[in-house]
Amino acid sequence: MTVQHIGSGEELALVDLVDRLIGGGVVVHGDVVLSLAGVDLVYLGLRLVLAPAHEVVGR
Amino acid sequence: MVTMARDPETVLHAYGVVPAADCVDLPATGIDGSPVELVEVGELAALVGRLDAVRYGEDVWRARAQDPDWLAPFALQHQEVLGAVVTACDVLPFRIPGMYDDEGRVRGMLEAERDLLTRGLESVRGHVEWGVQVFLIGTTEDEPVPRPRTGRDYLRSRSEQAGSRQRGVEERQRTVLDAYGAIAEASTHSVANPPQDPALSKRREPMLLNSSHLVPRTREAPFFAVVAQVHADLAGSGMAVEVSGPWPPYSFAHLATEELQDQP
Repeated sequence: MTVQHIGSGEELALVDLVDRLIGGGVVVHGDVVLSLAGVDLVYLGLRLVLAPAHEVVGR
Repeated sequence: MVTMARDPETVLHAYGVVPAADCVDLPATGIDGSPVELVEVGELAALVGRLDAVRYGEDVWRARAQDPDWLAPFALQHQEVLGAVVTACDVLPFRIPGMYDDEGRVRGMLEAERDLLTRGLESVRGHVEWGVQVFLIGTTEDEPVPRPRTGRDYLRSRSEQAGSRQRGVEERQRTVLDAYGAIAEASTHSVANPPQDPALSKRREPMLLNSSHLVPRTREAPFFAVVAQVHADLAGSGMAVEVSGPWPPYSFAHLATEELQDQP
């Protein structure tokens, strides 16, 4: 059995992308800075993307 | 260099930065089919897309950031562009949102963050990121135990089985640690992240390793040779290796600002 290779294109695992968007990437503040009482709303939104009860609708 | 016209009905989304001179083969389209364009300042260029302000202005972000059906497609399209770019040139991916009112604001960001972005690009020059995960796909066979005859025999056999399982767990942990070490040796930088919560990953098999590796493009073959060897070595212990990538180096974007400490 060979190593399974999951690409980073259409077939990527959403959880792998969300982990990288939450924990990585360069943070340069653009003109939309979303925080509510110091909490990053996009961080919360990304966590919700993975919520067990939710199934993401394709784009 | 074409200057983009000012347009109050649009906003610019920045996917990341690339070395201005190197990145000539851009994906044709990005989010919502918008062309992927460059905004250059000196040796840096931001990868941008011009988006409809009605759909991606600040008030919309505020309202929809908590809507997975809105955010997930955006994140996927963001990655689609970056994933295509990283196969051809170095790129530092941005977190989302990366929205700018106009091209001038993007230039301002590039000027203000020039040192950080230049150092960041330098630290990932010639590299891509690969994800490595190890899953427990089969348990090792329990030794058949003689049928206990007395209560004491029963308790002893249960205790022996528990001890054997614990030793199995410890041995597996050592094996996974060794595997990570071998793969890290074939990488420039490596980081071991917490295994993903199965409720989020939707994987039933336990995840024993969740690591990211920054690997030179020119060293991809030896990296995969090590990964294949690890996969073969682990198969006897009921474990399997999965690789994802190539990723733009999300997990190593902090190299410019932090002192990176490789995991042992």
